[in-house]
Amino acid sequence: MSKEKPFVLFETEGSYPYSGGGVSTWSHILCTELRGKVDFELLAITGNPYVESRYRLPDNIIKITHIPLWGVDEPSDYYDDRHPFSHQIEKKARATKRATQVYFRPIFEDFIKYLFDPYGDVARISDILYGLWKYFQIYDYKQTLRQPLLWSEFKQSLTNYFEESKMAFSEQPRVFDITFGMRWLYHFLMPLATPIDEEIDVTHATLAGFPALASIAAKYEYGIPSMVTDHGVYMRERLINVGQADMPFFSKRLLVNLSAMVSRSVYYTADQISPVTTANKEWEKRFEAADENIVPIYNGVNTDLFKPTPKPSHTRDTPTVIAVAQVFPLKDIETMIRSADLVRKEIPEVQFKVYGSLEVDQEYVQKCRDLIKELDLGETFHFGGFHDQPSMIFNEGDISILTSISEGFPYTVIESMSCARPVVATDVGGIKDALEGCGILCKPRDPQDIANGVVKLLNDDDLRLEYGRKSRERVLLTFTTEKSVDAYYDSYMRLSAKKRDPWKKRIQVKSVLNFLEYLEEEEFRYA
Amino acid sequence: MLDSQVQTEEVTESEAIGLITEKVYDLIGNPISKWAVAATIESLGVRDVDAQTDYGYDSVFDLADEVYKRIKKKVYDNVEKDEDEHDEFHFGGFRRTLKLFAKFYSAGMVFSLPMISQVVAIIIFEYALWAWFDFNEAQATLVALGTIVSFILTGGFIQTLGRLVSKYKGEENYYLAAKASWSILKIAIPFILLSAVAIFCLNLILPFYPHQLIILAMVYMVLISLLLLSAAVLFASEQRTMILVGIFLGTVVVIFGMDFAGFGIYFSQWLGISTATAIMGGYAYLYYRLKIRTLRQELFKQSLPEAEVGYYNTYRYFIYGFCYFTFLFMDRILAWSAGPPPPEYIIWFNTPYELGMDWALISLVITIAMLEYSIYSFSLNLIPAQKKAVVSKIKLFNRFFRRFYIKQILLLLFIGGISILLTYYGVLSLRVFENDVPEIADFFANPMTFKVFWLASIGYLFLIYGLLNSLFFFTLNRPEMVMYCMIGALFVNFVTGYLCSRIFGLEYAVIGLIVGSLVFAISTGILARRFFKHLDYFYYSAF
Repeated sequence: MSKEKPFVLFETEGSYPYSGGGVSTWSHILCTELRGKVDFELLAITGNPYVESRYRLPDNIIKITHIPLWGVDEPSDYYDDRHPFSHQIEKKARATKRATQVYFRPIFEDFIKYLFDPYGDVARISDILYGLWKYFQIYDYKQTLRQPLLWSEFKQSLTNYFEESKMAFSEQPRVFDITFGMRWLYHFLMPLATPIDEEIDVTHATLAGFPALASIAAKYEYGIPSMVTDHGVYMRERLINVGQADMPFFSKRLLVNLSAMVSRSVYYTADQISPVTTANKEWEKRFEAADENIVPIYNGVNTDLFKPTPKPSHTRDTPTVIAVAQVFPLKDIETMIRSADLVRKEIPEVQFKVYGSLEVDQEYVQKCRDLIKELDLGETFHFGGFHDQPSMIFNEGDISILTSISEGFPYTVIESMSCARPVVATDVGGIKDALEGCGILCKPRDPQDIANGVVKLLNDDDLRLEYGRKSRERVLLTFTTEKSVDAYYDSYMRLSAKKRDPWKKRIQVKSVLNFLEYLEEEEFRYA
Repeated sequence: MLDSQVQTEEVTESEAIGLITEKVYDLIGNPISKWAVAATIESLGVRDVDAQTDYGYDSVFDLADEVYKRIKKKVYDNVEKDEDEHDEFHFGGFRRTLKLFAKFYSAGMVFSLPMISQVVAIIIFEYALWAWFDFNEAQATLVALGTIVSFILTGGFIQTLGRLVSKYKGEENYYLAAKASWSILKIAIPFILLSAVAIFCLNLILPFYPHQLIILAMVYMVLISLLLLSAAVLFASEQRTMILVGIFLGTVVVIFGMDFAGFGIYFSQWLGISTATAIMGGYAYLYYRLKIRTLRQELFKQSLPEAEVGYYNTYRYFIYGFCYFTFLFMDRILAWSAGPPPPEYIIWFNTPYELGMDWALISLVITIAMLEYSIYSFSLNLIPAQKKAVVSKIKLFNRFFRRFYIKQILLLLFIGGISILLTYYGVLSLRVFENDVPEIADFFANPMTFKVFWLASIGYLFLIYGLLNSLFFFTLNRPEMVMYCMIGALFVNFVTGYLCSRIFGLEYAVIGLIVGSLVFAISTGILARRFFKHLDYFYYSAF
């Protein structure tokens, strides 16, 4: 593909184009704004096959490869639609016990070794992941992973691992752990079965997780440069979600180890890692992201849409604090409510209004309502529900507030700033990157600190106006959609112009080398 | 600025670490790694600056190291007593098992009720949906031909329907369950009609039977096929009571047609079968429509796999279904085409043989109901046993299910034995009426009937054992194991039955059933032994 118009493999998981949410919105804006300049092939991983695009896709999305990790009897029908089904039958016929024993098993043994030691040599881990991908281009994925000898191998490895480590009885793996552990390998590693188009110029993963397995394969096979966008930090979110999940200890560990292996390898092989904030850097570096490859690209807003307008009549004479957030625990609305109580003591007529879905966690919504009642804030604190014109919301208030305990680089902050409404927010994630010098940063879970910030801005008109002006300027300078999209375009252009250097030339892992040699000898041709 | 009337509680660093350790432990329990602790601490809103000011650590990661150590110490200090090396699993006592058995055996019997209703209808009214006491041999032949051909031709479609509908219904995807049903019926119905035409045309070229007989047989064939297909949809959708309702009301129509409207036997039965089909098919349609509407499943896009992929996923079920029903009727085909005396036409109904087979069928029905319990019990215990068994003692897991399997075999033998004896003596007890009811006297008149009953009952017992094994294989997605066994059994049934019926006499065609069933039992039994020895593997690979 001509470098003037890069062809990008865009990898998503649980988002664009089949689900809504911040990452999907960002993806859609990126693809749409780059119409005529960049062509995309989407590789979209979902949890089930019955999904429909939530967006009207722009015409520069040439192709979509949809990989449902669960819910299909014959996954090759999804991950490989380049070839007729007869090709898959051929691959199944090839995936004999002998082939698995001789060529796959050694690679699998190496893989399992690092599954129990995911923080081992990342170069070798990457080699192995490529080796697996290469194998599945010749031999059927499902047929291979159903071979009994692999099950025995996995079982034995688990047993040996347990015997060698000092673990408590409650940590000892159960049969359940092996069953679901091996099944997770089957489901989550499915992107390793996807063929990669040599015409791709750049691979771009929207998270450092399983969809980016395609990026690793592309780098090794064709030397295609890759980039990763971190909206949050995939591994950190995985650790939180899996850590709190109701499943046995060993299963949790297995799942996290698998994610860690993949994540480290993704960062290691990436040419560019572009978090939406500098706040994620520490985590990224601890998971093999090279400092020199980390190039933050902030999210952007449409400054023509989100622009300052006077307050509407119904809030004009009332000090109003606006929040835009789905009501669920990470947004810590309870702390917001408590801070509202403290602010009211100083500014009795203050109004707090929270716009955002009340459907995400109804139990939590009720908890918040109970707290409002307990603090007698019924006249002060209101839930506005979902608002279908977000650009109108911030201009209803004097300032906006965000009390999250965990964030990436939230759109709501820069949207408020674009409307010249200064923000009082907890200092989490990348919020500091946006607010420093033109907003107030507070300690999370500290109603007093947050309340102090709100009162300061509401009482000091000059300060509020100054911060508002600075906020708008900051956005125009740094956080516009155009700037964000241009930064990605520049990245695509720069990466697609890079000389291709397939990493398969530098493989060290013997099992993978042996398999590649075998392929050369047999002169396998696969379409 | 607000006065700090609300003061945060002053805590020492040590107390703060203790508090956060407790919080982390409450959230994630035994942590899988230090990283998990660090991520959890961050999710509590603790930043690097807070780690320094509140906890005395340079960063969240350093704090996480300390918290991790503390939690691990707590976990290891409270280590549970190791399980005894020889501990076995127990899931509920005898009472629970008995309750489950009663529940699922009854559910299994529900499926047999339509057949039992036909038997009752014959006894009371002398006719049922496709049976009549006063059929002559020609009429019995044409109906039997129609029935046998319908089962054989629809067998593959029925199994495929069963597989797909139960898969999608299990996912509560009624939209695709309905779509899958319709996609199969779209093939099955034209196939049935074309087959009827083809058989008729074949008979024109090679006149095995008088044309009128073939036409009547094909009408029965088509109608019974449609009834079987609609019943299959309901069965797979777990709406089995409606099958009974449909059959019952269809039978009522037959009675009405014969006793009140004077339609004659053919038209009454065709009307009755059509009514049963319409009721079942109509109910299935409404059931799925309502479910889809209620769950709004038509609102989002979903489709079945490509046709070739669908065929690949289901061809084993199709082959098995075709072979299974062919197997069930093979002995009749062989018996009715043999002598002495030589049959009127190529295949000709033999009353004493058929009576013996029908008699044995009752014992099959009583025994087969227990399979519902066996398979449910198997599925129920799989995951709890997996969660209990530690990897180092995986043999305990497999051993538990091997013992479970042995228990099912013993249960089968027990129930099978009882049902054969009950069936034999139960029907035999009707002999007291033979002087008053000529039909009863006719039933017991020919010793062939008794011979066939005993031989077929034994054959059916072997068959049910093979079906028990097959159900385990189907449950863990191994249809190929069943398919190959059934193909082998069919072949043996045919060869043995042919030779025995031609050498020894027509009634010895049933030896084919016995030997074929024995082959099915042994082959599936060998596979079952391997299956339960490596159940952990088969459960894993059931995707």
